[in-house]
Amino acid sequence: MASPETVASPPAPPPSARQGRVRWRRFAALMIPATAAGGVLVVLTAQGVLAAQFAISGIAFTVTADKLDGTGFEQFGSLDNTAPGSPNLQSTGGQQIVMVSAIQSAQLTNLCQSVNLGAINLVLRAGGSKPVQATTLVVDSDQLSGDASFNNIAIGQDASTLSTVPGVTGPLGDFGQQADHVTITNLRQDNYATTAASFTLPGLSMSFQGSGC
Amino acid sequence: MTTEPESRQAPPGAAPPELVPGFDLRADPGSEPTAAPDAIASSPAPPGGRWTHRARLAFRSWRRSRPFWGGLFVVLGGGEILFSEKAPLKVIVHFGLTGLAGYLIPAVMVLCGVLLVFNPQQRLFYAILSVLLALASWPTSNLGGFFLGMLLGLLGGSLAFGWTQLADLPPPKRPKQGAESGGAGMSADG
Repeated sequence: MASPETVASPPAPPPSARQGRVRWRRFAALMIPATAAGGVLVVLTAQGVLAAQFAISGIAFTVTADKLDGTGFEQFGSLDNTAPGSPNLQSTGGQQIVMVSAIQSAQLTNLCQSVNLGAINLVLRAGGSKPVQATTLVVDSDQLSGDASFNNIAIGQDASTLSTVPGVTGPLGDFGQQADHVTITNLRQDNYATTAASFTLPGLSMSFQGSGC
Repeated sequence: MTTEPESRQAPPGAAPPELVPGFDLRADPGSEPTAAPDAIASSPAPPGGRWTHRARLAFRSWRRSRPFWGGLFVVLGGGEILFSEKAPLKVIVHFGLTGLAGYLIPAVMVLCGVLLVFNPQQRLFYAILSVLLALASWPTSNLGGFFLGMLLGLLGGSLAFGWTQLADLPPPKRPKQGAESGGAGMSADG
């Protein structure tokens, strides 16, 4: 310290041998290969070779796609409850109906996902030239729209007996439907609850934008 | 490139690192991300300020005896990834081990960051582990917490890896030391 000491404040003790500092060459010795490995992972994901897993809930998450081609489709209704005393959903007594849609394996063209982080949206786009491969896509949406066509649909099945997406079943006695195959064009899902999926993301691009998908 | 010797023996005649003039830890621009507290130390102490000054110096001394910023960044990175992830247990278990890995990896990252601060003797292991976990979080956890958590983990792990104690640093070059232009066989890093 070059500044003069006043009488009131005692001088700082000299550094002991136990203290240390960052040696920037050593820092670079790990940082550079690590960044290179990270870059390889990003490139692999952008080529659609490496799948990325997502698990998001409680954040507004929108998925849109030009076309979704799915095998193994289930859908059932579910009642979400807000915490007691919450100011939300006063008109419905603190309950919100959400629709759980599950697709075992799907190919999406021109996928756009956006996460609403408050003031700004993180937008991911993928599947422009090569379609996105999604596995076990499970969403709780409050809005789902598109033009859909189903193969071998069974409507009105008890939600606890749904079987086309292994491991995902609804509550006993609830209305559910399932199909072997579904094609949806102009898909739009607005999700506020669970979204869980494993995506390959060929042609991935990530950006921050003011508006979502 | 000669390996930088982390010798514990200073060359004969050299003073211990803390008493070498000109080798001032506080003057090094790379050692501390924030330099503000030094300016405050010279101002007149407010009434009752002596203990706060001592407390600040004690904290600074503690902070410098471990890879503090590296550990902090790793904790923040792991925490950011955990914060971005929430999904019911039933669905995650359906994914199997890869689903649980999405939570396990950032949790172990936070643990590594805490251990970097409170167990600095093992910092090499924790630092390398933090970097590997940050890389692994890209495919398993929301693209590494939408990239921010992965970046913090890489930075923190590398900072902790680069942290060295004063006793292990190579001695600095002293150009006024006669004909000893590298004759001692030690070359300090530039």
